[in-house]
Amino acid sequence: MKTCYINSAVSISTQDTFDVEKLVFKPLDYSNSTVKAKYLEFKKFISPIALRRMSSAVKMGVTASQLALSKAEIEVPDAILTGTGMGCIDATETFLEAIIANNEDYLTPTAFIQSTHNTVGAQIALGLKCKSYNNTYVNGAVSFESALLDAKLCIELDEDNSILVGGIDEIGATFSDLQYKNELKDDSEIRLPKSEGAHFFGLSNIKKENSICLKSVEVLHHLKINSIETHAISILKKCGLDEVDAIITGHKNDEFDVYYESLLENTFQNTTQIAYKDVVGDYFTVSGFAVFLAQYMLINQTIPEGLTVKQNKAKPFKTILLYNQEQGQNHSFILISTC
Amino acid sequence: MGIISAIGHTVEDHRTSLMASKSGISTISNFKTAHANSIKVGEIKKTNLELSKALNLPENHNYTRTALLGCIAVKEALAQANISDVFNYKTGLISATTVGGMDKSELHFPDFNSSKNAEKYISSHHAGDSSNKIANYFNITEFVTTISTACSSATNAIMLGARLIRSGQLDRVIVGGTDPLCKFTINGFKSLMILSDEICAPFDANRKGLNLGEAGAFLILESERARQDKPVLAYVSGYGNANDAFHQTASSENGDGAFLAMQKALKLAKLQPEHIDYINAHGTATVNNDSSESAAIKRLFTQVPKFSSTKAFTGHTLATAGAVEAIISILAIQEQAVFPNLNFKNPIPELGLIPETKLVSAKINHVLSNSFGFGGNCSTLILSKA
Repeated sequence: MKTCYINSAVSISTQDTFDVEKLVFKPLDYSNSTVKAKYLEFKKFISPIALRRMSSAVKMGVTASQLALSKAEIEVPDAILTGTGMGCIDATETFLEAIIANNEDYLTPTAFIQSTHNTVGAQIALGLKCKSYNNTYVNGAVSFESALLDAKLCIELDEDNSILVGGIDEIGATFSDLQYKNELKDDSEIRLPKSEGAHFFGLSNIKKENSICLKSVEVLHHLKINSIETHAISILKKCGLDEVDAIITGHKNDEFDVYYESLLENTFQNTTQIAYKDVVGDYFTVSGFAVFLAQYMLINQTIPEGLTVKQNKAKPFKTILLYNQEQGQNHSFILISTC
Repeated sequence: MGIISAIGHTVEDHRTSLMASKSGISTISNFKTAHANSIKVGEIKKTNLELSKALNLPENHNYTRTALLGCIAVKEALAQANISDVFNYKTGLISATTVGGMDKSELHFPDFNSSKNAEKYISSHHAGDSSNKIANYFNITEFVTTISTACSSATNAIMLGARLIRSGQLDRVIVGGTDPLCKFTINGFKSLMILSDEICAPFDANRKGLNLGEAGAFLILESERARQDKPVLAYVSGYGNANDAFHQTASSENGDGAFLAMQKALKLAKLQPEHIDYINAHGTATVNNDSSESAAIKRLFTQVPKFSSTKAFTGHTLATAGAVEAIISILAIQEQAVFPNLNFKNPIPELGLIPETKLVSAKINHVLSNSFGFGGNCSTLILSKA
C-alpha cells in the first residue's frame, strides 16, 4: 500500500492565512451572526471576465486550488475531490428568491446553473481542462473529511498518483443567519458567528521536501460520548502510536463541547490541546482549517499566536490528532505526522 | 435493492412495469406549480403524510420528502438483503442528492424567521440532512456521507461504496440516492428550456427534452465475508468517473467525459467493449445529452451493443438516476431481457443509433450503465451477472 503525503496546504479564512509565512491570529468579531472571509485580490488568479460570473465559493475555491497545486508541484491532478456543507448557497438563494418573487416566471438559468453543489469542483476542472476523476461530498461537518478519505484511499489503492482535495463554504444572504439564530438557545447567549472559507491540499504518493503524512482519516456517523477516547486510542494503535504531540479539537463553546472534553480529560490531559473555531468562525467545512493548521505546526514546529492552547508542552511536534463533530454526530478523526 | 419511483413502490413493482413497458410519466399532482400543465413528470403518487405513516414517524418530525423517499427505499433494501442487524458487520451509508431539503425550503423560505412550523426545516436544508436522517432511522453508526455531482451522484455513491469495501474499510455499505420533485429543479430545468411537455423520447431525432422524476433507490454492497451464504444479485465489476471539462452544463460534441468514464470502467472490470451485452444509457432525451452520449458510445464500441434509456419509464430522477438505473440493470440481468426505449421513432440523422424499442430477450452477462451531470461529471458503472 502506498503512503499518502500532503504536499501543500492553502487556506482562505476570516484571518490572514493565504500564502503567509507566519500565522498570527486576531480575535474574531462576535458582534454579528456572520463573518466573511478575507477576500484577496482574486484578479491576480482569475481573469476579470471569469470573475464576474463567479460566486465567492468559486472564487475562493479556484484561487486556493491554484496555489495548492503550484505549491505541491502538481500541474494537472489525477483527481479533484471537494467537500462543501451548504454548496453554492448564494446562487441557491438567488434562484429560490426569483422563483418566489416572480411566481415561477421570467427566470434566467444563471443562478440555477451556479447553484449545483459540484460547481467549485467543476470550475476547477474546467480551468485546468482536467478530465480526470472528479467528485463532490456534501455531508455537513464531514463533507471535507469524506473527500480527504476518498483521496487517501485512491492513493493507497494506487488508483491515482496526485490529488487535489478541498473544502469550501460560503455565506449566503439568508441561510447562514438563519442557522445562527436557529442554534441560539436564547438571545443573551454568545455564539460563535457563522463564517466561510476554502482549504485546499495537494496530495500525492511522492514525498517532497515539505511533505507531511496523512496517517488516518476516520468518519463515524455516531459515537457514544464515553467511547470517544477509546476510539481515538484505537486509531493511534492502528498507526503504531501510544501518544500524540498535540490534539486539535473543534470546540465551539456550545453544549456539544462535552464530546471534546470527554476525549481530553484522561489519557490526553497532558497533551497540547488546541481549539481554532473561535478565531475562524463556524461552518461545515471549517475542519479543513484544522488540517491547514496542523500542517503549519508540523513544518514550522510552532503554534501560531492567538489560538486557545492548553497544556502547551515544549517538545517537537511529530504527530497531531484532529477531532471534530457536529452536534454529537458526524464525528471525524484525522491523524497526521511528520514524514 | 430497494426502490420507489414513478413506476412503483417496490423492486417487484419495477420489474412488472418494465416487463409490461408501462411508463410512469404523468401530470404533477402532489404540489402546486405554475408549470403543471406544460410539463410531464415521473411523480410518485404518494403524499409525504402517506410516506411518513409507512415509516411510523412521529407527527412533528422534520423529515423532508428527500429523507422520506430514502428511508422507504433503504427499508426495502435491508429487508431484501435479509439484514436485521446492522451491527454484526461494519455497515456504512453513502447517499446522493441534488436538492437536499429544498422541497421544504422552497415552501418555507419566506417565513423561516416567523413561523414555528417552518423553523424546524432550517436545519434540514443542507444536503447531508437526509442521509443523517436515514442513518439515524436505521441505526447506521459507521461511515455516512453524501455525494452531490448533479445527475451522476448516485453512480459515484456506488463507486465510493465499492472502493470502501475493496479497501477493507467497510464490510457492508448501503449506496444510492434520493431526490424528490420540487419547484426549484422544475424551474431550473424549465429556465434552461430542456423540459418536455410530452413523455420523453430518448435518442429520437425529434426529442423535445426531459421529464423530471423523483425516486429513492438504494443497493446493498457486501464483502464476501459479510455476504455469508446469501444469494448475490450482481457484481459491481467496474466503475469509472471522468470530467468532460467542456462547459458547466453542456456536454461536449464528441462526449469526451462519457468516453473516458466508460473506458475506465471497462479497464477496471478487465472487460473489452464486445463483452458488454446491454447499455442502460443516460439518455435524458435532451438534444445535447443524447447526441453527445451517442457520439461517445460510437467512439468506444465498434459494434454498438443493445442499448436503451429507461428515462421514459421513471423520468430523470437527477441524483438518484444512477441508483435507479443500476437496479434496472440488475433486473435486466435477472430477466435476461433488455427493457425498451419508449417513444423512439427515428434515429438522430448524423449518428444513426437505434435503441431497442420493444422488450427483447437477450443473453446478458455484463451491463454498462451511464450517468452524466452538470459540471461535466460523467460516471459509468458495470454490473455483472453473479
